[in-house]
Amino acid sequence: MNMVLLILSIILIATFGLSNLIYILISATTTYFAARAKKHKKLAFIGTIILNVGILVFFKFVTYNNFFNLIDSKNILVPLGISYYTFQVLAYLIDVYKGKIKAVTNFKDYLLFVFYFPYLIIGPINRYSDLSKTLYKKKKLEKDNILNGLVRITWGLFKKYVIAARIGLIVTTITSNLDYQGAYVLLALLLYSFELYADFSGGIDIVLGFSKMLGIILPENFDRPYLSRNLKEFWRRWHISLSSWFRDYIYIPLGGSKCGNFRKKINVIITFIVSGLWHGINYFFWGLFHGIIVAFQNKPNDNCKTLKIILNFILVSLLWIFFIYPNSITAFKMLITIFYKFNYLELFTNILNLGLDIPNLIVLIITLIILVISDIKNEKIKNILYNNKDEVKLIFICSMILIVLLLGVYGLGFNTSDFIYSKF
Amino acid sequence: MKKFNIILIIICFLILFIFLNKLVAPKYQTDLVEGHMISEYYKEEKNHEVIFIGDCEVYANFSPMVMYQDYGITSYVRGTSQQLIWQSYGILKETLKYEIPKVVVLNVNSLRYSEPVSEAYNHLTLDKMKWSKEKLDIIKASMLEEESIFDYIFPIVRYHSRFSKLTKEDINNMFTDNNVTYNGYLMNKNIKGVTTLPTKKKLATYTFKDNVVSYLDKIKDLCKENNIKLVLIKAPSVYPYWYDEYNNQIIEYANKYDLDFYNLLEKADEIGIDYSHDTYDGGLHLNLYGAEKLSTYFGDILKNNYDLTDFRLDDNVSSIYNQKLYMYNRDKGDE
Amino acid sequence: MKKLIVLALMVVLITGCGEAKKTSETEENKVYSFTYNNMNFVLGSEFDKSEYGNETSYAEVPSCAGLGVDKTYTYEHYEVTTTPSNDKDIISNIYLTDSDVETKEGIKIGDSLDALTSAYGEEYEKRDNAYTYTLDNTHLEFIVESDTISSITYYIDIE
Repeated sequence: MNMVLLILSIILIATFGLSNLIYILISATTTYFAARAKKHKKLAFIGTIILNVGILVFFKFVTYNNFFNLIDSKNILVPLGISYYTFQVLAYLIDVYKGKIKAVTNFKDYLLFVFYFPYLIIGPINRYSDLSKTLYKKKKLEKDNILNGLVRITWGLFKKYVIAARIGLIVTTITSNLDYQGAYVLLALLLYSFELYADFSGGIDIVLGFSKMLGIILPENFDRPYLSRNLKEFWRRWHISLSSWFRDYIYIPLGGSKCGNFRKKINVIITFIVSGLWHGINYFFWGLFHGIIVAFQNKPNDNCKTLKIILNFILVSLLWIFFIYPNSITAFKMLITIFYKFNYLELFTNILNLGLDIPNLIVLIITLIILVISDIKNEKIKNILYNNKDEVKLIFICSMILIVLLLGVYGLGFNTSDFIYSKF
Repeated sequence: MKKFNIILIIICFLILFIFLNKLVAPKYQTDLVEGHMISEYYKEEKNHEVIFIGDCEVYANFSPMVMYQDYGITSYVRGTSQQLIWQSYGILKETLKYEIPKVVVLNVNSLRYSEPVSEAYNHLTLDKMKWSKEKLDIIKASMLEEESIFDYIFPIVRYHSRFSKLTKEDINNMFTDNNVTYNGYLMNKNIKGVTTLPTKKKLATYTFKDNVVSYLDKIKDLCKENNIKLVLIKAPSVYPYWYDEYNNQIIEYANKYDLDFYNLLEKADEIGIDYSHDTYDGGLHLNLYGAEKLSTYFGDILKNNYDLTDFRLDDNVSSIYNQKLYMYNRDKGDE
Repeated sequence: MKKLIVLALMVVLITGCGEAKKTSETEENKVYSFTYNNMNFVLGSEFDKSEYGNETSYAEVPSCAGLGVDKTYTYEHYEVTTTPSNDKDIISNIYLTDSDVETKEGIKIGDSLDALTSAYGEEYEKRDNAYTYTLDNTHLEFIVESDTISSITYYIDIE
């Protein structure tokens, strides 16, 4: 069964281009052998880290801004999943070097750990000690796993195609025209918070749901992040596998909080800057701002809980500015317009010209409410869904499929420049 | 008990799925009726001695009712909007599964298009065509880059965005299947004469592309194999311009393979077409008055040159066609 | 080991910082447009008849199944065609009809192929007799016969 999974993963990766296989193979073999090195352990360790980080940095730079306009990077394909698998193998290597886990002796097992297709698309970044618990089990297809997995997959599809993609229509309309300023930008940011969350967590649901069907347990990547009371808490609930990676492999090696208060703040800021750069070179300021704010925050308490949650949500939304405009200068300029252009009335009268008609706006509002409730009442809902009769799960799955097919934003027919759009 | 529930749920799911597909698919009954035309052939009695294939220049210009009334010719127009040559080939092939006519008339205007034009026209031609190998072939040859085969298999994939724009037609006509043509002829009584036309533009090339000619060859060979007379025509539409270079290539082709070619555009006077009165869109298509003149003229050519039966003398056929004629004349008459 | 990580990070940071200081220009979406006598025809923009004076001739060209009506306005030296898109008529085609007008880069009917490539470069797509240059979703097509430009057309991709 493991062989089948490995071969399937290899085939799927190959459909994106054979070169992808080569890059993942390089990272897999170098870290495998470095972990097993008996002689020159330190040299192997350092060399392998430099090699893999080097490849990652190379691709991140060379495609950014066409490398200062020196080359045409259109033809350079960034290897599939490089941001995810690089961090995954580095975590493994570092854990072995530090004695936390034993080196894997079975090469095929290790390959499966690195090549396992689902996480390469959108994460999560896995730790060997956790993933190995379920990755290698003789997988019998169990009915409960299959049903629960399908429930999660269809829920993820719903979030991605019905919620996120629909919000995306408005956000794109606003951000592709720099004349939309002030209130429009604020609206775009607030909506984008939900779009990014629905899209990202929806994708994760699909990955985790699919793995669940095979009996493979992957770590959660989100824990109702917009219910955080401050930014510090936010990063324990958003993109968890990434932030914990940075904590364990950048922040703590830098000294963490063990070298005094001032040094701790520096370490936090540095870690967040690197995190920003991991997202892409033009996310530098996003990382910097998060780092500075988090450095000065403490663990939150429950005083004025609701107010804190709302304020934090607004802060996070404002900082997504770097995600919705193509470069930092534009992002800053547009962000500032929020604070002096108060064109809310104009926005209100213009709301039907932003890419959605009334029925679609209604769907958007209703599904947003569903999303928010699903987070607030998370435990209850999970209980209702996962600890229930098979028939209930099947009804949920079938309903979600129909809803996604009918209300999803995908394919042709949503191209607003299509002059036949109005007829079709 | 549980198994029964599961099966029940799945059946409900399938029913809902089919229903939603039907709900969002365009009905083509009162709006965009061109999309319905391809489907009207199947329920006909397959006794046609003449089959027309081609684009809007056939379905707007030729009236089988007139050709029957004047000469007893049984014919059907399997034309669709912007029908491309490989689509004509597939449609002809499909038609031959149902009957072998004596004559196939192909309008050569579509030879100027060597690539798919728009996915909207693809759907107008294909949505209501019965599923067959020929339909699959046409889809594969016609799909644009952004299209997917699932757009054609499940209407909900292509048309789900219509959920916010459903009209009365969508609800009322979900299960209707009313004809919009008369043996494939789409009647239009509006009058909009030819006034001005755009400038005749220079083209990058006037030679028909290889893929186009290869489909013309396929049509020719298919007719030969089945002992069918292939007749090439250029309908008397004044726009888009029928370049001399195009015309010469057709003449050459016709001569080479011993086919008849009638350039009806050149015969407009003889046909009696009055371009100030006999067209509904400034010369691109004839209206009812022009189409009837053309059908009388062309029917005469068909009768005199191809060994066709006068079915007015056949009891079975004439009873069916008389009914059709009655409806046709009735609709002709009312304003 | 720790020091090495810090060093590696510094490298990353420095390049990151350097990049952030650079003012990166967003490339404006350039499209082809034609100008004559201070009248500007931009492919894809809405056609406002009042801006362009009186046409010598006007024609309406409906599409095959009533999916919109193209309108053609003929002027003295060129012809402009509009196509409906989102309830507006946008300029979709500009056809130069004589050599009294030229493109923004100074090319007119009758010019040589060499003059063309000097003005527009080598990044063209050649199909039969047509040399087509592309900007975004707009195209500038030159038909060249016997090394001489015989036709100039601006057009936009219609979805």
